[in-house]
Amino acid sequence: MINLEDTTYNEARDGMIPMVAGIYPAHVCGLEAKELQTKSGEQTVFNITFLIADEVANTQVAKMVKNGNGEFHQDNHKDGQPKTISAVFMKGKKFSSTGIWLTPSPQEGQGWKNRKYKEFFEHLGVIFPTDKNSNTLLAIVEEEDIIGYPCLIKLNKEEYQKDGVTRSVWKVFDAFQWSDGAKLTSDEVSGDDLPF
Amino acid sequence: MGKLTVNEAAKLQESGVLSKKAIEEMQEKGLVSTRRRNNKRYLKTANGTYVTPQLYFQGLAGNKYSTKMTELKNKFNELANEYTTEKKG
Repeated sequence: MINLEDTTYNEARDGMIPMVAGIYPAHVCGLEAKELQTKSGEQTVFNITFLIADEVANTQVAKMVKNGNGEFHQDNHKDGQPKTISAVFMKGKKFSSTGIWLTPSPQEGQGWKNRKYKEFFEHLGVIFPTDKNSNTLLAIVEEEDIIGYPCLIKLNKEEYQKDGVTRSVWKVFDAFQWSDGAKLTSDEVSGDDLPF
Repeated sequence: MGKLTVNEAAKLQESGVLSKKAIEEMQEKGLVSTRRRNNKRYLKTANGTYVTPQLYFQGLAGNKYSTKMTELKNKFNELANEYTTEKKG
């Protein structure tokens, strides 16, 4: 072996930075709706895509390092206090929400199926009208209604089985209106800055 | 759907992402919790397993804490801290 000068590798310093579950500032950058025929009749599933905001650079997340088994664990200082790093590496990443289901004209006693739909979009800042009996009049949310909305997203791993193996994907489980954030235009969140 | 914990909101405030006013508004809308959750604390049973003491107000049903209730909760936490540890063992 030929020795190299000033060429070292340290997992804690140079290892891959894994994503960490938590709350991140973001903007809505897309919404897809698919109509499906299910056991419950016709339903629509909504998937919202979020773009992590520049302000994430000011936040700190737990520093994770690999152990001998190749698994990530929290890196601590000598006194046991957890090490943190800037979450700047999350800036510009896109994440999709878990499926948000809408059941139009639900049968008697099935109105609960639209609870998540109502609460998810209300948390984002969508205002549904109400009737004189204080019932919320649900409506189909379109991309133009929420594109560029500033929000705080709750990011975590969703596990699923494929070919008998447990796999995971990062998903947005909840989103909250970020009143201190600035609304962006659809161009600003589209990310289609092609040079030609 | 859930809400942000007091700790999560405080971290966002420290990093300048959320202002105090925004947190108060979110608390009014029920998007941020108004109570801080203590770390889980443990006590050993005679069989060597671990349990966590808890204080529970039966019948609260969404009503607000009274001063006496808060006082009891604080005294309970002090007592629980005396008998328990943050880590098992």
